[in-house]
Amino acid sequence: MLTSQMVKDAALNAGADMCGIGDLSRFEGAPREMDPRYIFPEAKSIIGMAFRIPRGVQRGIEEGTQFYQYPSMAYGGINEIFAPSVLYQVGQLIEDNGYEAVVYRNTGARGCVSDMDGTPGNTLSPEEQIEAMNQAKRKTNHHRSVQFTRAARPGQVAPDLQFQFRLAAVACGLGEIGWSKMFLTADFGPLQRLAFILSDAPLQPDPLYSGPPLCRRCKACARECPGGCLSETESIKVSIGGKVCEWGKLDEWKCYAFYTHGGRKFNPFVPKEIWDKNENGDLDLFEGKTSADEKEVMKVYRALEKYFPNWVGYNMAKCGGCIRACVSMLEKRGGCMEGRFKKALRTGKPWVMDR
Amino acid sequence: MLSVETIKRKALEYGAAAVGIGDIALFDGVPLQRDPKMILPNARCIIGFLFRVPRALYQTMESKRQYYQYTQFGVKYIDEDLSEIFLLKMGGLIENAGYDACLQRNVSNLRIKGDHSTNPELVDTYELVHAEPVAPGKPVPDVIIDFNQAATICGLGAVGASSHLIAPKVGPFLRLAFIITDAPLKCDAPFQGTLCDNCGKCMDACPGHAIDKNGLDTWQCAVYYRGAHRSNPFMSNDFLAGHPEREEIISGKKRFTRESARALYPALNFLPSRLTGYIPCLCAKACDRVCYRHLKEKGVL
Repeated sequence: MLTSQMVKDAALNAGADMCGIGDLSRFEGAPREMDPRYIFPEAKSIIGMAFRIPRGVQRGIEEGTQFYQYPSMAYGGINEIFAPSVLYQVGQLIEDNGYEAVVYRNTGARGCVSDMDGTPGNTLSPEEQIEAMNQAKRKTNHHRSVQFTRAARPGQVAPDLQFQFRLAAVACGLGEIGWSKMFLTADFGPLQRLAFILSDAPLQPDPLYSGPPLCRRCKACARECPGGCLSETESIKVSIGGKVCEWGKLDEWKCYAFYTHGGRKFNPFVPKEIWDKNENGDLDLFEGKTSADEKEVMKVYRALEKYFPNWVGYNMAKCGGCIRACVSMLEKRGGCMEGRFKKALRTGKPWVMDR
Repeated sequence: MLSVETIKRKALEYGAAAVGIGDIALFDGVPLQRDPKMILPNARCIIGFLFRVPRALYQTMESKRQYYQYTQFGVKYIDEDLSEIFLLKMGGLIENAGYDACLQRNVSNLRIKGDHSTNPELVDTYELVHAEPVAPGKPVPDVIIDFNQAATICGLGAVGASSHLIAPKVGPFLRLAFIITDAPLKCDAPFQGTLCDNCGKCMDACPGHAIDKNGLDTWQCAVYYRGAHRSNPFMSNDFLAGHPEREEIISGKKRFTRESARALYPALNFLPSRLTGYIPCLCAKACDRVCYRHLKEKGVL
């Protein structure tokens, strides 16, 4: 008989750093387009796995000297290679015990509704912008290929259904969502990526996280965002399994632009004169002269592509970094990452280019 | 307590063929853009991992029977899949002991500002020409460590005349990955000397004459790695038909620059494997094959 402990042992042995199991009834009230029960209606359980992002891949960004290894190793490497290899192994265990295992790796953004702004068909994500750019060149941008999706039968949701990973991780009892909208765990703070399996196996669910609050509400994430993308005052509240999750209101499109291009003070790969010149107003978004939307983001990408071409791999995180701000605060006294490392990530003031 | 023994045992268990630990102090004096201390200022050592490329992948290219597997398995799989899973697992081990693990996979398609060379294995490489330091005293990002130098410091091997690393047991049939860490590990001695005896066979074997006494000309290599030579079995008779330098090119006599190499790339599209960004190796790594055979015959490997 398949037990929760067997599944967890398999996940950890295969390489996951954490594993938790949630009852799918915890998604009651979720929008249909983001409710995993519409993928596999017979599912009883959702198995969540967390894969740590080694803090060391953030170190080069903290120093301002090496940006490549984080997106390569800890974004693409985990999402595309490591996590799927673990999902495959755990899925085999579940199948061997006579149950289905709907493996669900991080898809970036390929849902029937946008994970940027909730609108139908917009599926651009900052990390996978490379592909979007290539699609755009062929005049078949992602959102155009997805917006015509339709439900195959009455009562179904149009494919592909993409559920909210961070809320799903909450449902699995792995941790909480912080003010930054990042998912936090007691072990790794904001440093992890997630993957899931939906199964009809009747597994014993874990309780929702109920330990000390993981987010200190210090709002360093909001203060250190170079684009001011995250509100310090306005918030979003969602309930999952009766647990209220609250995070700062995020301007996703603006975050999209700043994450990948940083702005004049945080992007060492684009010379100052390009920001000064701001040809055709293409960089207005960074200068606070216009609001952010898909159109403005595409203008930015076209303007700056030559300074970091889109074929070299996953986009590099060039912003000031809510993630590093969060780690540095959680490592301070009383934070959940206190004492985890012998030396703190941040030992001085974070860098800002003098431009 | 994190021990050298644990690290080496786990590295071998996770798939490395050899592992060595290098003293970070041995990087003193290297250009800042190559200095691992610029990534982790309190680094104590660098751990080098060697992955062997299966020998048969070279043999099947030598016999002109199979080229696809070398590129996809011997290059891409090891660099992008095996070493990534490997580094993430090793990084977790080091982090669990409270130390930083700065994972360094092969940065295959970027070049630091000022490095005009290329990587023949890729569709192209991009030099970070527009990059600027984030603050005075900092190097221009990205810092990319010199893998061959790091491997030597870790005691894994040393560079030969071909500019490729040569290691005991596997010769030049290898790939590399590293972790920079502040863990206080006992370091291995750097590799002494080199297994290369300057026999010159790699120079003779290269169909594009990309290797000379100064080492490897990466742009020249890139053209012939892609198959601009007569021995390429995928070359049809109408290749470069009408080109005034056709004979000079396919006989390996023409010298290529960055510009002229890139200009010829579109004509060197012999196999449709561009989706992964890795170019089929149509020189069959002649340099490394003769090197391996020579060292094997000498009893060095």
